[in-house]
Amino acid sequence: MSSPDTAPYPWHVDGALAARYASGGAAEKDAWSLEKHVEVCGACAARVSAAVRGSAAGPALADVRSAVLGAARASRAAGGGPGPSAVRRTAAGRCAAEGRAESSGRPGPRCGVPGW
Amino acid sequence: MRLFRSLGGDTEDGGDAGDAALLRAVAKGDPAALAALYDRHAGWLHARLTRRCADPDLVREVLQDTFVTVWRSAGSHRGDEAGGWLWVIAGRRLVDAHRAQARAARTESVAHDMTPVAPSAEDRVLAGIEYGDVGTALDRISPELRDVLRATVIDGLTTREAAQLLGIPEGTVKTRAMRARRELRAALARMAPEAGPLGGTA
Repeated sequence: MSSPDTAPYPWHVDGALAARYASGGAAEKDAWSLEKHVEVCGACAARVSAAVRGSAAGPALADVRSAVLGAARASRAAGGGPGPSAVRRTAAGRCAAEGRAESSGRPGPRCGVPGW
Repeated sequence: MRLFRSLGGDTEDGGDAGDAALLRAVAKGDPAALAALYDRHAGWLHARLTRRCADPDLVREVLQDTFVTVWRSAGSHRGDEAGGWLWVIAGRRLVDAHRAQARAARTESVAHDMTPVAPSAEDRVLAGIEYGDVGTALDRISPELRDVLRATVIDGLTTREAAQLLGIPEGTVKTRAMRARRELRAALARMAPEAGPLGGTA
């Protein structure tokens, strides 16, 4: 397992905590520690994600993966790259419709997207 | 088109081989890079969303929307690790979904507040939960205060977003956040102020 630039973090997610978190059984304080940490540590993110893939959530993760990659490939085939046009929207479309954000002339998707 | 050479760490850009290189490849339209990014992050995102939302279908929808958004806007990410950025997207999507459900239940218009949360002193203190002490303090505050802290501090939501996610009024969010911080400070003050061992909580 690669560990890209994790040296600044003296604390990492061990296998036991990853498994508890994946099963939904981690205590809140441990969960918070893990959640803030995987935001900045790719190696632990990969470790936790692997544990979740091996849990009851595995099939759902595989389904979403297929849907996401299908949408990405479809949009690339249609338009030649990432872009807002050909990608299927669900909650994003709903939010755009209700929030009239895209009629304001601002560039790019603004609906809940952290452009800042 | 160039194939992305996965998680191993070799990249022509050198340095941080991880998320930054993947996101650059995603921004150029490389689905393999999107797949690699998904495999690295989707699992923990799914688990984190599941801890905050009891509806598994909604969790899947939010997760899918998150990575569709990544595909569209990977070029806007700056920095190395993508995890924090991904969670901001997912957290906002979750709030959006909850708001849509609430709106379906009772037609009501709420403006979408995009104001980012500025890091506060509390944020920096709470960042120390990785090192144990605050985690102990957290055990001593009540669940409803913890939920508010989690939404506003750990998840980085605005007061309005936290209110929408938790289904309580904004004023209640503010009151509970103040109480939570007061109680946390008190709990921390009772513990040894010197830095504890960097052992973590795992």
